[in-house]
Amino acid sequence: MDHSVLINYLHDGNDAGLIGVYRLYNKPLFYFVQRYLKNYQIAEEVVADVFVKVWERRLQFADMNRLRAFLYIAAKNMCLNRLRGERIFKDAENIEDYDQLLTEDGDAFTQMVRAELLKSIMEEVQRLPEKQRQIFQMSFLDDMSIDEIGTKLGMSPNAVYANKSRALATLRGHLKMKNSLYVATLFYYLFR
Amino acid sequence: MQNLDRIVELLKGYLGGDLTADESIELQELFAAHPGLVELSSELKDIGQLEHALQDYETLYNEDRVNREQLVLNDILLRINDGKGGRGGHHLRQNIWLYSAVAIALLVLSAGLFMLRDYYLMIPSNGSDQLLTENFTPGHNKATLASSDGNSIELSDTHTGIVVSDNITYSDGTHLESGHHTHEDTRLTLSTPKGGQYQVTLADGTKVWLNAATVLRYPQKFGNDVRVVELEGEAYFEVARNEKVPFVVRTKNESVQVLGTHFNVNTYKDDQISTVSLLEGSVKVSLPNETSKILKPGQQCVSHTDHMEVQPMNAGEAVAWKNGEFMFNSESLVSAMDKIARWYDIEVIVEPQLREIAIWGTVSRYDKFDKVLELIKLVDKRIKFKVEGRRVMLMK
Repeated sequence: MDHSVLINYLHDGNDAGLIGVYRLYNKPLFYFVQRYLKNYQIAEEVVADVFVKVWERRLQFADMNRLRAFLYIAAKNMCLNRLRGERIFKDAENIEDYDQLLTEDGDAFTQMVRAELLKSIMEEVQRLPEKQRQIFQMSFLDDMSIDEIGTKLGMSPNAVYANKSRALATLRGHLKMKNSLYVATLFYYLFR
Repeated sequence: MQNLDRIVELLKGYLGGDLTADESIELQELFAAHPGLVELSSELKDIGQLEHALQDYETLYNEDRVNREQLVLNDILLRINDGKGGRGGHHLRQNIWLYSAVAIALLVLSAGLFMLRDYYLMIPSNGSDQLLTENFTPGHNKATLASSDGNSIELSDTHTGIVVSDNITYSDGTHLESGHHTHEDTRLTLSTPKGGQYQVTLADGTKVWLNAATVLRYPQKFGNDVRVVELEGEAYFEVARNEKVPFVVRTKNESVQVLGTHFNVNTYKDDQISTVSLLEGSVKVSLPNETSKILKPGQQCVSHTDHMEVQPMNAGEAVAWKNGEFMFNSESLVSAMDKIARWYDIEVIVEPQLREIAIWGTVSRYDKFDKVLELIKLVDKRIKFKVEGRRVMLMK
């Protein structure tokens, strides 16, 4: 997606840009920070500090990729500083360095990908048509039994138990799900 | 660095098991460059582990987490605006909300958004499209008042609102044209067409602002134990305080009970959901199945037929319309165009692949339609428009 609008807002000193970036990345960033700092209040402080830094350096980000690299590296530095109790890690001056830093720090890179991957999956779930989203949410949160889910889908429990592959085909048909990741996950829930 | 979005897409494909041959090769190259990702993928390829990880991540969507998210944002905005200095020369709208953290962030937001107008004025517009859309004028004050005894009149568009008491007059005291005779038991219906808006002050002093394509049904005089009105569409309420007689708004989805407060209700017939946004005071939103939620200022309640979700809201966004603006904050293109279509009284069709594009920005409701188009173009240069009569189509 083209985020140049937000970058332009930032360059213009318009805080709509910062708000936009916050809404896009605060969840995965918070998730990322919590991998290092368990305490959610301190994690929140770190996230807030990082976004304030983004604003302070807003003119230096040429595009969203660079801004994102900065978000995660700056966040990790802050986490480590907090854990050590001293400011050992300082932010690099040149924004162009962050790309490199991110690639060099395998751990930060992996954790960042992890956070962004989960974010992307969750966002797709949120965008599913209402019925599909409900069923996905039910499986995750409500621990519904096969009977309950089967009833919701209009399938008799016998049909569900009797023939798994037919059940899966019916499931696909009912929900018209194109992405097999979700079908696989739902299948797991129905038959675990 | 390889594009992070591309990496995420590849991994999702891998987890779902539907990578093309080319993509598989790309993935192997990715793993070679970043060994840490090999571990990550095999961890999440196990569905049980994926479940665990998603459940963890999902806690970020819980109500209390989402509320804290908003508070952290407010904190960030306060901190960056300490150093900002004066903006000079802009007109601060009359502010009526008292929820302090949100209010301060909003004052700052309005200042920032005025700068946006100068920015997008620099974009040259497409000549031929402009000719066709010249007839798309923004909405204005327009409404019809009908009463239970059969009379119906078009209200004057040089006035902004009416006041209901023993007689009905315009807000400046002028009487309605066709000698509107009413009595205590009369029930009235105020409705705005697409492209219309109007205001009404009810018998108890409650003020209601109606947005386009909205219908409000209310009695000429309220009863002694409860004040009830019915709403379809969108309206902003400033309810006159009366602890003894609760004020209730009934919509297709829910019923909103208030004591004395300022809130917005969005409940268009075509939309599946309704949204009640509270700025000041306290409201209780109830569904027919008897579940209910009490809102605090700064919260909004989204009602589906059988359940409700309470979320923090961006107050500026919820009532931008009443203050004469469209404000889009990562809103989907299709949702934004629905609002725009209602106001300009046009039909808008958005190609499926464009529907979920996120729109950012603010534009005055009284600007010509072209300005709005420019805002859309700003977001994604590839969007093209086609105009046929009063129908606008957006495509790639």
